[in-house]
Amino acid sequence: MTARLPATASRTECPPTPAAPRSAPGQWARRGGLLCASVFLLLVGVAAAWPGLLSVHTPDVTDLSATLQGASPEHLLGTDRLGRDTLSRLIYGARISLLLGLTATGLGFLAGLVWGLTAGLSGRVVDEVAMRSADVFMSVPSMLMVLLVIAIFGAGERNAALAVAVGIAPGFARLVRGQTLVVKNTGYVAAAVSLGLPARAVILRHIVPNVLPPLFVYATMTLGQTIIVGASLSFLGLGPQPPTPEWGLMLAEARGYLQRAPLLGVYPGLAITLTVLSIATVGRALQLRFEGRDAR
Amino acid sequence: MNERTLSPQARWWIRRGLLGIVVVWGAATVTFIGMQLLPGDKATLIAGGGSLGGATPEVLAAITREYGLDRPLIAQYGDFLARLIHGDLGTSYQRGAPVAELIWSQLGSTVVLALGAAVLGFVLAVVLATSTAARPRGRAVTSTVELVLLSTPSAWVGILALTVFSFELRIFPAIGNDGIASLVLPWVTLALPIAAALAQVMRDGLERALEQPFATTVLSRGATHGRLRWRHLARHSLIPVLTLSGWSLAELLGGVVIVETVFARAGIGQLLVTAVTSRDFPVVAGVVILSAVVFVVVNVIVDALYRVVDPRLRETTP
Repeated sequence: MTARLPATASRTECPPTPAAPRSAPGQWARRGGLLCASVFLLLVGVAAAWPGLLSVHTPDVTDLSATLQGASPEHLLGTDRLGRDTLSRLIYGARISLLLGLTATGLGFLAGLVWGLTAGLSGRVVDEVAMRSADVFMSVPSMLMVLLVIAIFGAGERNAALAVAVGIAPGFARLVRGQTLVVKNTGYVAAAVSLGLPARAVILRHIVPNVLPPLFVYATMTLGQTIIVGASLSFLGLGPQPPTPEWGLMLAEARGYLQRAPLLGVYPGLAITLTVLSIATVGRALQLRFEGRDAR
Repeated sequence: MNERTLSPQARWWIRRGLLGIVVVWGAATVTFIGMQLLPGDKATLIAGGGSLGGATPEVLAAITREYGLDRPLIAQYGDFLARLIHGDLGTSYQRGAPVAELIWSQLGSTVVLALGAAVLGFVLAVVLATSTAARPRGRAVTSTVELVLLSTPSAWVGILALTVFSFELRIFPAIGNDGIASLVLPWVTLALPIAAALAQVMRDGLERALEQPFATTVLSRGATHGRLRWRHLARHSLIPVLTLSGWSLAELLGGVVIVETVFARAGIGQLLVTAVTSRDFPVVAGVVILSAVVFVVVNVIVDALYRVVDPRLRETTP
């Protein structure tokens, strides 16, 4: 079975060819991109943590006398079909969209860690069963796996996060297992075992810490994708329910008013894309640093 | 090794076939477990629990008997697998029709959508990769565009396409299933992320091939750069594309769900979303099992294609 990791696509793009040394302007563009991405992520982070700091209006106050308005000093990005302030909804939406992605990635990370460690540290039979079942999970497109989980447990914010986590856990499991097999056979683990350390201590103190680093890079890459999947679920009406301010949901609500208020469909998508793009940019920088390819 | 009667080729095919069956069986088992995890009484679910007051105890008892819900789980699992082998995917809770029939009736429009998008994505990727490989300026621009495309939710691409081309310029219809015109925007929306990912790996493959001695040889024989790229390197750029085919397929099947919703097209994606929303589990399970079958078949084809594209693989035993 071929692996299908969205991250591979962007990963293969990186290796700098020896034939074309990076030019100074390229360097500056890269630096500038990284800076912009970091600043934007910081902004989104602030919006998610303290939305009240950034927004003037409350996100769910309706005003039926001022629906679908264009930009004005009062409503910088206009209002939606119920007269709610679009900018405020975008700002408040950051929390739910980010939280959905972060929770899903965190859960998938943990599940994959346990799954992969079990496979890598147990005997052949357990390993084989664990990895074949990962194959099975990965042979169903993750979007369908996510929908299957929602069909079982129902729509909603928490179930959406759980479903996305199920979709990404096998990818983590594979990575952890591969990494575990490498770490297991290193000299320091052999030394720890021969010193008589109990198995639990060897695993927690020597194996897990060395399995984790590449996982964080992968998690960063995955986070962007989980945010997209999360927002897509909300768009389908299977995530957080109205009137929650959430980017995917705002996109779905705008779908019916594209003719009268076309910009309503632009902002939430832009917010998702810029966030994911920024995460990818920062993630790639992390990856380069981790692989020691940042050497200028 | 000890079976001298079978050629390595035949053994390879048998092994691949068996692995495929294991994967489909696994997917079926996952859906069966999912079915057991459904909250609430199953007979009530089948009776369509939403109807006023629910079904009478007699009806529920009849359903329990008919579906064998009173039998041990392992027997139900056996039944489920046996029916699956005969192509019986069960009956929709909501519509009362066989799931296989429901899927079959929607399959055509989704296949047209997905296949068209796959071809479009592939062609776009070939053009992008071949024209920008090892050309720093073009590379910088397109790889940025590709990164942006991979970071954009399809739902948004679809909404932007609708806004611009259907509502502002009025070139394509906004919704519906009729004709090629209604397919253009869905095709493009579905194809863009695939084109972006494929172009990235293709360009990588091309650049690696360009560094190999044979590229210099071809040029020294008087071939133009264009000829080198299109005639001699294309094969090399196809290998990473094949490696990504599993990802592309998943992207396509997942994308279909979104694109059909954005453009209000009938198809498997719509069927699936409706089923998930109304907790019509057999339909969801049916689509999942079907997609696992498609995935396995495509993977076997891809593995066979590797040997066609890369003659080096044919010489060594599998």
